[in-house]
Amino acid sequence: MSLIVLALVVGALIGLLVQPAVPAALAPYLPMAIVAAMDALLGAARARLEGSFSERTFVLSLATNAAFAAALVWTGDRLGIGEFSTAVVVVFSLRIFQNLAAIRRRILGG
Amino acid sequence: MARSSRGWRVAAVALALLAGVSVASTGIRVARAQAAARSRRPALLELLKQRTAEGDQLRGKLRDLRRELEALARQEIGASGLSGEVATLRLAAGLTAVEGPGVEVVMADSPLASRVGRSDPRYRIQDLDVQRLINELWALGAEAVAVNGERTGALTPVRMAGNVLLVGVRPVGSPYKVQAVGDPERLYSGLLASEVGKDLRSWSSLYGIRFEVRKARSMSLPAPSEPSSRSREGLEPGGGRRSPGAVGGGWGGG
Repeated sequence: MSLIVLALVVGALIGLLVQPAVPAALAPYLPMAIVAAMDALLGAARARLEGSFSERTFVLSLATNAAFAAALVWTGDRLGIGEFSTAVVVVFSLRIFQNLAAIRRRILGG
Repeated sequence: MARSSRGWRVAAVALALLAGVSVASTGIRVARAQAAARSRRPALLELLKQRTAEGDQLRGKLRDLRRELEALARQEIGASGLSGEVATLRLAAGLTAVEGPGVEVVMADSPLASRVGRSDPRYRIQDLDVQRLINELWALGAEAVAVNGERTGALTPVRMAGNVLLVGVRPVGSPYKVQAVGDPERLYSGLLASEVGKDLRSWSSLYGIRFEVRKARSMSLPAPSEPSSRSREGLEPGGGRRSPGAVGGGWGGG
């Protein structure tokens, strides 16, 4: 778990230093994938606290959530339903708050 | 508790690394876009101010030139001793602002129009209704006619473009107020007895469109927003039927 957090920080640093060019076609969907990834990370932290963390679950949930979130928004754009991005943000925000609440209960016990 | 194999751990680390890179690059991209938008704003504002000032200046110039033109024309006309005739002709041609008694007709789409759908023309005032009404008013001896404050003349088209009525180039909407300067008694009784008046009254009771005619003691109609007459023949000031607009071919021609 700590390795994952470390990797995240290192990745962010690499991103800041290298500043890789994101393909323009991908740019609108990357934020959705990031929101999904945030959810997966918090889910992982929660699982870790609850002692049920598995790298397999983490990898699968992050990959599928991010991919499906981006795909959903992409589909929405093709169909002319721009609100799909809002839907994705709302759903993942809800899950993020739920995960945060669970983590807080674990750590602070309240 | 979770027995994670080495492969999954590597994958997890790689994904986390990728997520970090994504976050950073997206953040940079958004920050750049915002900075670009911010830096463009003053320039756009400046451009807007500049163009607005230019427009104001041109409008002022246009006003001055028009005034100059008018003064020159008046001078020329005064020298030729035709000023009286020119004034009469200008009035007959519908080029001047007109004040006087007349009738006011208010027409509006039926309140049911929105319920029965856009396509049903029976519940809405059509361009043909307005055209017929205006022609009737001219035929009854109106001296000047305006629709929602927009003067109409022989070459002013009144037509529907989609759901909007265009008088000349100006879009007007329901309710339509048609004002006609002329003999109020004659216009009033003539209009109510006319075919178009009967039609509109029966549609008013059948479909709920609004059609009201009332006499007005004094109205002031503005001059046309743009001169529309190009040439005119057979005008006889003081003659019996010198209604400038009562011509079938005039509509839609401008």
